[in-house]
Amino acid sequence: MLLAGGQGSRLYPLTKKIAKPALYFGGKYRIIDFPLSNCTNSGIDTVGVLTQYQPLELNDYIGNGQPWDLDRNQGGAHVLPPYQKNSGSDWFKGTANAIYQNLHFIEKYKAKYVLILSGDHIYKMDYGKMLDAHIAKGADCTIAVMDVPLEEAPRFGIMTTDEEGRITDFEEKPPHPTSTKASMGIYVFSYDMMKKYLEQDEQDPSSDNDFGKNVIPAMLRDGCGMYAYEFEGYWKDVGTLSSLWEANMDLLNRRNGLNLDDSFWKIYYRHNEKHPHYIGKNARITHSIIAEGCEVDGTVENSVLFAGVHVEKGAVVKDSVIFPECQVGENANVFYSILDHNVNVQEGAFVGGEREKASGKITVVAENVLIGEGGRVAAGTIQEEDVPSLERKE
Amino acid sequence: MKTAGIVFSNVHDQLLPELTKVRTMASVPIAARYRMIDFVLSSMTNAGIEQVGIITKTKYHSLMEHVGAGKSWDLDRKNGGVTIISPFVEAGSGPLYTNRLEALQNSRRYVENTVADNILLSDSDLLANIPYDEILRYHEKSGADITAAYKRITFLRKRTKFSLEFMVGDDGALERVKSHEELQGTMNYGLNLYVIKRQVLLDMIDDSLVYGYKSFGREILPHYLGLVDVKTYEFKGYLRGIASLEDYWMGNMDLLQSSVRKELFEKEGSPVYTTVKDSAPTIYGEHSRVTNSLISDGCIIDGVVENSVLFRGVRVDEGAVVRNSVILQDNIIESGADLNYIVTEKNVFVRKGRTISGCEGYPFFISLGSVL
Repeated sequence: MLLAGGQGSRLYPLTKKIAKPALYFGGKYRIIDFPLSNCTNSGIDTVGVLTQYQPLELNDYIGNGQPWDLDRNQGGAHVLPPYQKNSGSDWFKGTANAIYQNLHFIEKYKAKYVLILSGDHIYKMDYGKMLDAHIAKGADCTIAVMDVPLEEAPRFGIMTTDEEGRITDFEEKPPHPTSTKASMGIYVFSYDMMKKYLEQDEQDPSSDNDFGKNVIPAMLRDGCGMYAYEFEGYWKDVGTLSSLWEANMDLLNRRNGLNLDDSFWKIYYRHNEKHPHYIGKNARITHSIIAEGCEVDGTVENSVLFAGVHVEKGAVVKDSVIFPECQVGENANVFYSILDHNVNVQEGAFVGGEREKASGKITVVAENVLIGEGGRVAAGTIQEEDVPSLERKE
Repeated sequence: MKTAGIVFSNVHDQLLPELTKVRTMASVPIAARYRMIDFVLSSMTNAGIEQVGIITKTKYHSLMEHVGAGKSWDLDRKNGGVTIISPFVEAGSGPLYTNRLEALQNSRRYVENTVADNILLSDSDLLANIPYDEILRYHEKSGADITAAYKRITFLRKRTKFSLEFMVGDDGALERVKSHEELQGTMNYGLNLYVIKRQVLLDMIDDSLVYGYKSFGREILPHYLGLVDVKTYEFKGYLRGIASLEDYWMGNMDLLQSSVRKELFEKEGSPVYTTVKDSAPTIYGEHSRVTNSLISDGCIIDGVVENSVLFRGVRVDEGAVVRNSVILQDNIIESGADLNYIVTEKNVFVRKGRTISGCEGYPFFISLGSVL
């Protein structure tokens, strides 16, 4: 069960019209490609995708699940939006409530074990191994954890375990953490036990109906068999504009631990029919990712260009992430910026500023915005309106 | 009116022996991520054709792997869809068919069983985005029994290739067909692309057996000129016939022109589909210096690439130089290697410091899996 309703409010304006899991990533992908591909590669063939916030683009993208081999006669990918019932219609109140409202889906497939995922993270993981560990321990619930630096631990749900890996204590965002094992928001439950606790949680009017805040602590209190499953490898929460930028930049380093080239663990995505990219006679490209359908005749340095981006002669794109279908006109400059889908930077315009002077404040231009000839977007700002062309002095 | 398609996948194999050693002409890789047949199947699906038979004879594994159930072209249909017509060999049958007409004779049952008014016949040796829908509309409007497509081409240098020249009347009727073993000068070059009424095609197949004809273009088509209404359709867009390694090299190089890319790939309503491989995006390293090149997904480039076409998964290390070359899938070019006017097959490994060069008009070919 993939929780894909995340609003991603700290990623505004990129998430103005799309849910966070539908966000573009790494030149070819959307964030949700990672958990979906992990499912397929782990041998999981039935996936419910729970949507809520701005679901249209996500629904469209997932379709019948074919790109991830999830178009099956039995099972496959199913988009599960909130729906109307006899007793009225409810939005999903919390993560636990979202699953509770879709218990009938899990029951239809008579699942013995349920994997709960979120659509917010970039990582590769074999859920099959985690399930094996769950079964071997005879656990009621297994939680994937990873080691984080102590100073970052207060941002996460932190587990304390005994030498068997059994969880003895769990604290959601502790101010003074005693362990560095952080929950990744990936749970395996034995179905009957999960159902019991979800129903119980639903009866409690004071509950936030959240796995981390309510369900997990309740199970722990009752002495359920709860184990941590340790994960090592690349894992990134792309919750903010700067972490999204960073995660994209991580791909430029081939030793990032994510290894997208692995033919045994491919990350699948929905394709668009674009020809291979063309690099022009005046181009200079270093340390960058260029996706299909791009036409580049300018300078691109330390950047990620998504499908169908055009960079004209004399233009410079540096330290930037450029979403699909953007145009960067002749002699235009884009520095340390994220350009959302279909931004048009016209001739001679200047977006952003040198990364070294930006002190981490990235420039963002929202979807479909036009930056007119010679127009400027100041460094570190979020541009949601068109910028008119600069009047030319005759 | 409904149209079914028939694609000849093998007929030109002998013209490009280098690349058809392990595959059919139809599955020859082209333009950094496509196969020759992609252009045919995409044009068919873009023209609303939902039933396609692909006639094969030999070496069709890569073709079958590529086409699969036809999903990539929306040709995985409950009714019709893609059928691979392999040779139907039984006890007492003669040797494998050797030409287009024998292949059609072998496929008579398929033609007979199609639920279609017209059959569109196509080879797979043309790099072009031909609007089959326009040809079909013209065919139906004119009420012709056969519509034969051609392009007016000027051959500057003499070329050896069996071809048909069309003599076209003012009303667009095909008046005479002239066959050539050698090509030179300007002519209406027959594209081996026909739309034929299904019943007429069946008659042609039967008559060819009765008369003992051996050739479609030289015998049965001229025979039918006097019997039925044969019209022509002139294709005026970009086209490169692939009839030699040099043609193959030039076809790939044509794609470095923006006008050719636009015509082939960005024509409104005629996208070109191919089988997807889910490659990672291409990464350019610190030392990469790439100009005037068409690059596919999944490459890792840290060297110099100039005037070249790179297929999926090619690695060009720091200090390696690739110029004027067509590098097929999964090649590794190590540092210090220098390639100029080269066409490589798949999985070629060029070790450190190797220098290999062909020249303009005569690209040097490196065969499948070579380690240099």
